[in-house]
Amino acid sequence: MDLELKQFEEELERLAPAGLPEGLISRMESAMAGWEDAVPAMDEKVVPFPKVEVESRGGFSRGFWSAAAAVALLGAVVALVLPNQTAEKKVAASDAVPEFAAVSFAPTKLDRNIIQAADGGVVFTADERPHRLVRVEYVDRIKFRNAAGEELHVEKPSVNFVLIPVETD
Amino acid sequence: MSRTNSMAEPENPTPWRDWLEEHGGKLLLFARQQTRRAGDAEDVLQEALVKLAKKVESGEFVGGQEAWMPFLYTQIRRESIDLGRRNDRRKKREDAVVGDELIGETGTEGWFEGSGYEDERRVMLEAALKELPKKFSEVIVMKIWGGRTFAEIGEILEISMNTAASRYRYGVEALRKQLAGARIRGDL
Repeated sequence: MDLELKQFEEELERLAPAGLPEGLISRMESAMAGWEDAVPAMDEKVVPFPKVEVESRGGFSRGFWSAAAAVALLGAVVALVLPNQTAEKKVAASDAVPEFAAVSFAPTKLDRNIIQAADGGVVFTADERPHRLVRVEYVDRIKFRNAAGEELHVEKPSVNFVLIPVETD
Repeated sequence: MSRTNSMAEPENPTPWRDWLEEHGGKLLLFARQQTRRAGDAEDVLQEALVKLAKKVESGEFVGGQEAWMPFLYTQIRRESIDLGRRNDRRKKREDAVVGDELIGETGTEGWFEGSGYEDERRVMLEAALKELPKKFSEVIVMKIWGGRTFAEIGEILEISMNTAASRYRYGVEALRKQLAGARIRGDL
């Protein structure tokens, strides 16, 4: 255990648990002296609430209407997605889809370098498992080049937090 | 150890009194850590002490007085688990969730004595201990304030000694980080 942790441990040891107040000591004392009269705690009996029957409605059930709604929805989706086979496509010359312009710069290289990784201590996730938190500082360097051979360099610093589970069991 | 029939008065203490005055605080701390309410902590402590008294006075207890504390830690833990289950069943049955974990139910008494330690830091420490997952805080409480060894803690919790040591180490580290964070935020 490192020095800081050891010092913290010693600090905790200097604390003393609160003593039993007098009233509580007397209560415990008399309970222990009268152990023969003690009744052990028993499991409570679980009495369920009476079930309330839902009255069935006349006519079609809820399940029927749910199924009908699902079919209707499916039909609407199909109508939207599938193309109309009967409509004639009339495309004027002026409506022709233009060609996309060529991209000026294209990425040619990507490097990721870790600048620093620091221990952020132990944290617990929602499932109460301990993890070591590591703060990672890194920089992405991306090189772009265009058709003329010109280069563009981009640097993007980032920080990520990584959780590494630690085994205790 | 003799038994008295009358209610114990401070003027006529039973042989248990001196022992309770010396060790009761440590056991109550553990009971508070195990349960969610101050009243429950006192109840489980009482159940465990009565069981000890019964075994000792009927001659069933195996081991000397040095074995009382490990026995009591085990009993307090078991009583707390049983009580927790009973409370959970009652809650389900009544279909009511009472947010009693930390609201007024812990009482006004702190877990630790204030002497020689800043009050604010003591309160922060108590809060940080309560926030730790139970299986880590129980090891810390038994090790630091209960004076138990990792071997004893392992037996009480039915885990290996190494697991007890691991939980202790990571628990203390997390506790320290939480208090250091409070200091940076200006809470301390």
